[in-house]
Amino acid sequence: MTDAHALPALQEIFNELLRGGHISTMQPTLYDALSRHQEDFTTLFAALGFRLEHHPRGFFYFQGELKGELPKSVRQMALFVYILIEHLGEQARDLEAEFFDTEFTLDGLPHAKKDRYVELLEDLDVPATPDGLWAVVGHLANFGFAEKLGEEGFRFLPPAYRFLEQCRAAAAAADAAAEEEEA
Amino acid sequence: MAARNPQRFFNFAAEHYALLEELLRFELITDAELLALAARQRKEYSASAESIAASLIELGFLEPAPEGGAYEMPLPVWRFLQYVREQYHLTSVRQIAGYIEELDDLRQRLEASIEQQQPAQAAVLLTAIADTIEQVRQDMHGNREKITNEVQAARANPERLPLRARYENIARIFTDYLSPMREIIDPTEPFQGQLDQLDQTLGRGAESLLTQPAVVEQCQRTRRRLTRMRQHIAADFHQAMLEVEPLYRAYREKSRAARGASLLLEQVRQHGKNALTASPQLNICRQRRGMLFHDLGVLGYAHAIGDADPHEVVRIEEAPGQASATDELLLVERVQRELREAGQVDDVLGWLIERLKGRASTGVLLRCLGDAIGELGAAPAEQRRSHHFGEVRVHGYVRRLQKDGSHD
Repeated sequence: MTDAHALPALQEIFNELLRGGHISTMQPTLYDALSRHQEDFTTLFAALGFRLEHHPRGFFYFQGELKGELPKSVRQMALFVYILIEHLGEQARDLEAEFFDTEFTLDGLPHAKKDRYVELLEDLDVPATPDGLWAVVGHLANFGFAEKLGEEGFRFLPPAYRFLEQCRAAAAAADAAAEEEEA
Repeated sequence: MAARNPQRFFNFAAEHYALLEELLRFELITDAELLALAARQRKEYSASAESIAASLIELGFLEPAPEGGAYEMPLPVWRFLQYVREQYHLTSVRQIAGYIEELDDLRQRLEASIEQQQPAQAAVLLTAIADTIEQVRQDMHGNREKITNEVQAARANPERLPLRARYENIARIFTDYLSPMREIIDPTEPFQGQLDQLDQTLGRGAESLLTQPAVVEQCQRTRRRLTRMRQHIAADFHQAMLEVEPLYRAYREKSRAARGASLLLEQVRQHGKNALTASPQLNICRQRRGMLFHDLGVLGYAHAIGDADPHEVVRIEEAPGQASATDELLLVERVQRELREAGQVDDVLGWLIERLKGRASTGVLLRCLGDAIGELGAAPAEQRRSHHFGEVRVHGYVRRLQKDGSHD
């Protein structure tokens, strides 16, 4: 193993990952350091009790613990993104492309347009107002899932694949259950 | 009613085919609409619009609708024109099952007429059986054609509809029309038993009604129809499956994210906000403090030392009455854990002071309070309160923690 002191940007990378951040090519210096010394970082972090994940879509993160309920900010982000994915599924020709290529603006979001969405958000203490939704965009940006564009725009970054994968996993489980029932 | 002249019927159809195609789009057509349509489609030197409209009714292309004041195309004409245009409609498996039930009923009556040696009755029943067999065959073939057309249209123009709608269309065909068709061709299903019995009855009829060669021939011909129907149904089913299944699976895969999002939203709607639980995709590391060493390199070595196998045990005694940094850290972690597990706490600061007084510094108290606010979302109430912590008086808004970790 390389001397831990010699690992580039170690403290910065560790702090970012420890607070739940995702390191993607948007942070080229950190991403490059992690990519070049992935094995050493993985070994060191494992010794500290953290599992470094390198997602095939090009980002790093620490896998959290698989127990207990999710922090409120994570649930707020998840709900916000699920609503957007459901909406894109009803409108988009290619969901994934539109999810990542669209520059979303607050006034174009579907969250305040259906009572069902408003109720779900309010249940998680997210007012379906521009300020309320912008606060969730702030969480998404803090964790590296999205990038803010000006005062009321944003776009998703590769780490947001984790939300898409969560949705796919839910549907795959339902499909498997349906197939089992048919069989 | 005067007898319809088939030759005039077909001549009119040939001369006014464009008009008939237009009429297929109408479920009901009023007098005014009919005249306007006839006038639009009328060729130079041909009959007037009024005359064309009258011929449509006289030849049976249109008949008065039950509502009155409008006309509709009779079902046999509509079906005939759709057949000619190779436009098919989907027949549900329930309808097909109805036909097979009908065939079974006819078979029982045919059986009785064979036993009672009633060839005239048998001939009538054989005609009804042959018609029903052909109906099933045509409907099943229509299903295959319709499914093929829809799949080709979906393939040729995938951007026509949003992803979700595309999946739902194909899924409807697959689950409503195609998948249940298995029942009809599956040899273990009752339908096959009914068709086997019909085949045997037709065979018996051909052997038992030998005095009536025409009826014997009818039995043999109907039996051949039955065999052909069964072969065609199996072939149509397999061809339709070949068309639909890959597209169904592809759309199902592509639409998974959107369908999953809807499923997860529905779970939250039904079971509340706590329905969103940890999963490999959504586990986000949330640790801010608790590091014993600030130097990661040293920390790494410290963990590596944990794997070392010492030759002898060395005990290091701590100075009595002096809390070490390690003790303080362990205390912070324990209090944080207890607070997390405590559920509802009406005054977080009071709760922490109870546990920490005499055991920790003000710095530790503030660190634990900071964690309760930052990590657990303890929120301020309107009430202010003062507490004593050793020599220090702490004054501020009461912070409250609710059972599910959320705040007011």
